[in-house]
Amino acid sequence: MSVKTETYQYQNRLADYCRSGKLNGALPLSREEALPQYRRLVFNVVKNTLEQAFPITQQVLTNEQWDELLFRFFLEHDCQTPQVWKLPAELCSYVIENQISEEIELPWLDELLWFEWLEIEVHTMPDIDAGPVSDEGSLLNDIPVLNPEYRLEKLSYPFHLFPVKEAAEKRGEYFVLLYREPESGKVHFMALAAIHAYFIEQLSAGEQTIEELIRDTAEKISSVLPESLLQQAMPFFEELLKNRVILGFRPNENAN
Amino acid sequence: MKNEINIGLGLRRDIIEEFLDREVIQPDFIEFAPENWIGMGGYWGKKIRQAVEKYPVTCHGLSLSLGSPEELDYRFMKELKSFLDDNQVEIFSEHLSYTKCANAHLYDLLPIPFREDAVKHVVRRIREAQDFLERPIAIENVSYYTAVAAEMDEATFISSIVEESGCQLLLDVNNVYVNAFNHGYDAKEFIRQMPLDKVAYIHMAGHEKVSPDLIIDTHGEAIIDPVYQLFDYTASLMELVPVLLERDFNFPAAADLKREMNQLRKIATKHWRKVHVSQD
Ligand SMILES: [Fe+2]
Repeated sequence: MSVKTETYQYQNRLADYCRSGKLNGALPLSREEALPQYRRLVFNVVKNTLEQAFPITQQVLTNEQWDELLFRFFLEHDCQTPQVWKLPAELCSYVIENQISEEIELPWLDELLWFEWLEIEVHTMPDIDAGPVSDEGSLLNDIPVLNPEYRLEKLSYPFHLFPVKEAAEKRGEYFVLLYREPESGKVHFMALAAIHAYFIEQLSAGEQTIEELIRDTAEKISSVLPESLLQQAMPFFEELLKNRVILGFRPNENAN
Repeated sequence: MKNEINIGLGLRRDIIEEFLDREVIQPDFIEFAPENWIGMGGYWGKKIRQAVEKYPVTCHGLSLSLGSPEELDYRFMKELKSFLDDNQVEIFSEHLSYTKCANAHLYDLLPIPFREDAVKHVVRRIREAQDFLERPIAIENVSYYTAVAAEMDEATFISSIVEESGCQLLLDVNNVYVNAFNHGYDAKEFIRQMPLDKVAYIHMAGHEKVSPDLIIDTHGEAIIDPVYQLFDYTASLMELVPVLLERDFNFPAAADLKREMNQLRKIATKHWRKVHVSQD
């Protein structure tokens, strides 16, 4: 620290005041009546950012719950990101770390916040190069290239399928794929069966053809024949190709 | 930006299409906050790349927090530096304020105490940041609504920092007007006290009067006549620099923004025509 302790304290007191709305200690001001403007301006930036990011959560909480959550977050949490649009991710972590869902008896709150943030995250995340992709190929026998701009999530509440109140009653195990369409940048959701989530995880390694994947999987499950698994699963892979979750095929190196 | 009259406009997400189609607004350059775009991919990443290809760029930082009483954030500065390099940013500016304190960002501009130890501290931080970013920084005079523990006046505070750090000045003429109104000093005299030979560029904007004796610097309204007049006065005292119109929300029709830019161009031309290398 290279300002004098006194100056440091004044700077700190003003910042604390902006976070809490309370002034602790002396702060010599030329216009005392203007001080609340700072609390208002600072808090509004945070409030607007979080309300834009979490419209569903804001709607399902009561106004008191929502305001209290924002107030506590900004007071207790030291905001770390220099990029305010990434702040919603810090609210998600804050709520989990402080077990706020339990405290206010809304066990689904952690996940709802996370679910809302995920859409922003997938929409904004840095572009990822998928490597060489060929449009031509066999869905069964060539190695499919997965669109790398996705998140695969396991949820306890099906927020991607039902309105919050309904989803809150259906605790279970759900898988959802969020992916960014490369051309438009739009984010899409896809509800997945557990086995489909497994397929996507395997394909993301970019080493297997779908035929190999099915054969391996059938061996692991042992109660199913590869042929019938293939028949059941093919429409899913075709959908992935159509929706641009599979971008194409890894060009055959020997062909070059 | 060449040695000619340049009137720019702040690029914001809500009006980015108007910048890209160039149908109504054709600013000479654009400005945006790096924090809003660093690491941004997808739809918005594509849009900002298109804008950068079309226009010369200045960047106006938000989170470097030159006035913080603590250490600079080197991890962030590293990202900032590569962003400025990648986007061929011609001028980089930051606010003479602090937005981070006790390891927490506040995302708005708090006034630094106008004191000698703060001058020395900020000078050191500006030098450190300029060295690391390998480019000059233009610091902006900010609007403030109360001075905090002041031991000198604002003009002395700003000019000492510019002089001692060797940085440039981003002179926000609207902020001078707002501060002169809120704190009861003479705006023209304040302008005369500024190191006008160090000005890298000028900001112009609108504001909002929230009570009979308090103006808040909102960037949500059109520029008012007295601020145009103060710009006219400022331009008469100094050499040609680029001028940027800031508008952050409550966006009017593109034609209205164009009208404001035309008005700025008219004033700039009146004072700076002699060095204006006309292309038409
Ligand atoms: Fe400004």
